Amino acid sequence: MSSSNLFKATVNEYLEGLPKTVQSKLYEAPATCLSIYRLLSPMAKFFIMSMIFNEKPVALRDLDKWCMPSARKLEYEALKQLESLHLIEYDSKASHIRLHSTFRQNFRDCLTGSQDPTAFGSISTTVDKHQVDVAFLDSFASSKWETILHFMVGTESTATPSNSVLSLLRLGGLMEGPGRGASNLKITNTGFQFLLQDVNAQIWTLLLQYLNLTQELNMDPVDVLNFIFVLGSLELGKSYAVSSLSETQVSMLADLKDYGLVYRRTDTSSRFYPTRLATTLTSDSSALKTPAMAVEQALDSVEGGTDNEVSQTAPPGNIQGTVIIETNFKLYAYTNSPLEIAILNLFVHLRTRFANMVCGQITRESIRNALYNGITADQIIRFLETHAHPQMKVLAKEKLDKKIEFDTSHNINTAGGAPQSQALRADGSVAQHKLEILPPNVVDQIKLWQLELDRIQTFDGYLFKDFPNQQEFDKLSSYASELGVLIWSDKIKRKFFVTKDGMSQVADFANRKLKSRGQ
Amino acid sequence: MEAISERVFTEPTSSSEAISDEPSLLTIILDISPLGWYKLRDLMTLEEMTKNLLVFLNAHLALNNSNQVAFIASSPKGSRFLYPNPAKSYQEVKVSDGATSARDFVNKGMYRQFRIVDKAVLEELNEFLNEINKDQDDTMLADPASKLSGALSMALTYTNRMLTLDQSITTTTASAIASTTSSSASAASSTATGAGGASSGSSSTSMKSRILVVSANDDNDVKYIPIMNTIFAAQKMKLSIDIIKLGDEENSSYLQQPSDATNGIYLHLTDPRGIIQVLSTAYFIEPSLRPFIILPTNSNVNYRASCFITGKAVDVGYVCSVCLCIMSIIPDSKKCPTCNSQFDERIIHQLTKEPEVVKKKRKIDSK
Repeated sequence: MSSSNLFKATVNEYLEGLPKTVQSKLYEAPATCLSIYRLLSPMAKFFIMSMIFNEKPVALRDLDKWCMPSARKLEYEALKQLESLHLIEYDSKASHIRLHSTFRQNFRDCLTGSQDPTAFGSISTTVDKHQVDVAFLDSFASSKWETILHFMVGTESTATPSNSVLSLLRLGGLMEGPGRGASNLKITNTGFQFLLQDVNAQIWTLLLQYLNLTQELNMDPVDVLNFIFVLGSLELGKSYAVSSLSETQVSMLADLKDYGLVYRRTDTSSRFYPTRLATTLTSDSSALKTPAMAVEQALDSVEGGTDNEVSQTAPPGNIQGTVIIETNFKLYAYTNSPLEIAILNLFVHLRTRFANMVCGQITRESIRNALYNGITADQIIRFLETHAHPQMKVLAKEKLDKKIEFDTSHNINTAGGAPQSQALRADGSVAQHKLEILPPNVVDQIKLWQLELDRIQTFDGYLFKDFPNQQEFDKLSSYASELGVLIWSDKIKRKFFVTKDGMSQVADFANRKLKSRGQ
Repeated sequence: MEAISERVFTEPTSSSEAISDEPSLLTIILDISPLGWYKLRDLMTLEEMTKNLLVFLNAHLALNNSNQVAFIASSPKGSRFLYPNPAKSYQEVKVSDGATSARDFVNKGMYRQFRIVDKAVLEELNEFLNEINKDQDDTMLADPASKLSGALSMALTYTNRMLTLDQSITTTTASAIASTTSSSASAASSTATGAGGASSGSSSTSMKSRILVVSANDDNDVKYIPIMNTIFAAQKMKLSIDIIKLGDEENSSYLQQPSDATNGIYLHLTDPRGIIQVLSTAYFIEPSLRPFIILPTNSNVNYRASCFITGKAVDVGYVCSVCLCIMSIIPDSKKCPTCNSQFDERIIHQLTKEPEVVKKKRKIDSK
């Protein structure tokens, strides 16, 4: 979950940073509207949907009334997000908001199906002489992508990715090195972090770099972004006509082919196929695979095929998790995929290597090394969880079942028979027992090791002080905490500290309150 | 640094992800009983309603790539899944674009996910209506009551399956979420499945669900007991049942109760025109948003129960002391119709005493 939010956050950040004119142009494409909509927070989605079939501007006060008082912060964040994307416009008195008219029109058309029929790519009507199937596309995509990953880890005997990929890796700070030669490049700390992300986040990282690059090449970012978002809504296994693309987009095809996002037989072919990497661009990343899994799956799918060196690097038929961790921090991984071993090596002290497995120990030093490289504890834990050996999962499941059974037999309130009003509230009671795949002591210890490193946190923000009376202080500080922007407060000294973003809101509120008192 | 006292330090980053953006399942139950729609004929046709609901389904699918939908039509002849229909492969539907048998509403260039669902629903609905028309003889006239409770049970079983079963099964039955997501989901789940079915723990919590019922029917057609049973099932599964009641009769208490008991939304629309606005606001509150949004629902719900014997609504009645079965009359057999327990003769005698008996009592008292 954290990584899906991560990629959403980075994409959103990029979109929010675009100038308004560019954003407005983006909203002219229905596919882009849909993709951007999917990237929003749930609350923002709800606000948009409530305005989309409403002709009149909506009063902000009405939105306030929709939300529970406890959700003030979410509402504030949603509105802020929409505002920075210019999806909503305030009227002169800032009491009503309306949706961006182009966005509204296009998104509505998209929902009712009355948009331009080619908005989601135009399928080639003619029959392809060199028809390719989904399996081929999958293997094509993963072999391309895997080449990049293997190159980053420095696996020997792998092909070097194309120059455009290399320059992206360098631009994104994922790899660095003197000279232009590929052999001089070395992976950086950000590169290590990159490896632990899931495929979707990785692709987006590269694509955002690509966007920066295209701006330097004077390519229209709107065209580029639109194409990326359209790619996300194409159908896997169908071929699309190149003729319906703009010039910029055609020139992108070659680059995207290098990343394995699209397949085009030759550079002059009149059609292209999106691969799975492309069609899942805007989807939930929970449905996606982590790099090592992706690679292994790809290897699996190549099994029968005649792909050259790929099938030799690791045995096929080994898609499942491979890692076993014991409560004494010993780790066994039944794998000989160089990529997975390289990733494990980032945070495990590997001791012995056998034909089909590696053993190692998680130590404070090994974890600290990873943390110094910018890898977070959550990333490590998530990696271990997704790669856990099936046997560990079975064990965890059995334990969970036992716990639940115990609770129900002792009539401790968990899922069933609880009074409805309670049971439906935020369903915290359901999550009382979680499936613990990893030994809890290991998880806790990894988290503690991370905490050791962040003893000091810094925040940018503003200090409010010199309140004339306690009442005023209470009012403002409670407002700030409702918004979720309060970082620190001291009741006795009547001082509090808010984040940078929250400053204007709190100041507005303060002005309003003080003014109303003056009158 | 000053003395550490009375300080509040909150980390602004920690709680920012309060809402999870999880995929959710929306099941729509459309009551197509002819009687109710006949009454509405001046305001809205079934076709228009279906179109609006399809837009609503699209909106739900637009929320999240992994969102799922199901559509059930309920008629006096029975209920049926319009989408997903296990007997059909949606790949075929997709390829047969040339046939254009579906209505104009389904644009060929529509977003893939939307198109597949919309087309399937429209085609199946037409088929279903034709079937109903064909053998419109006595079966329907004999029992015009709506089969809403049946449809609700179908929705619940489907939801249960989606929630608890492993995702790979999901993708084979509802292969609609076309090739991309389905196979990547199955790829993900194949890793999760590991040692056969061990994964359900992780996948079961990831999906939220709700049911939307659209009904234009009269109150007394709805069977009380089956509905109550579905309510309890829904409560256990923690899913909300939202209800749209069309038509100009007074509020339907039997339809109100499910939504009230499951934290759902109940609205009574006398004029269904412009219903899409209602759908996209009041009924668009995702389960994950429910704790944060004030639901537009009516607080005074009529918790009327119905008699287990006659099926009529009761205001004052008898209750079986063993199983709490509600009766408006005392059965001739002097036995509870549900649990078969024998009623106490004396108590029945007391209950059936004529008012004049009371008079006697007073006389006794006065003496």
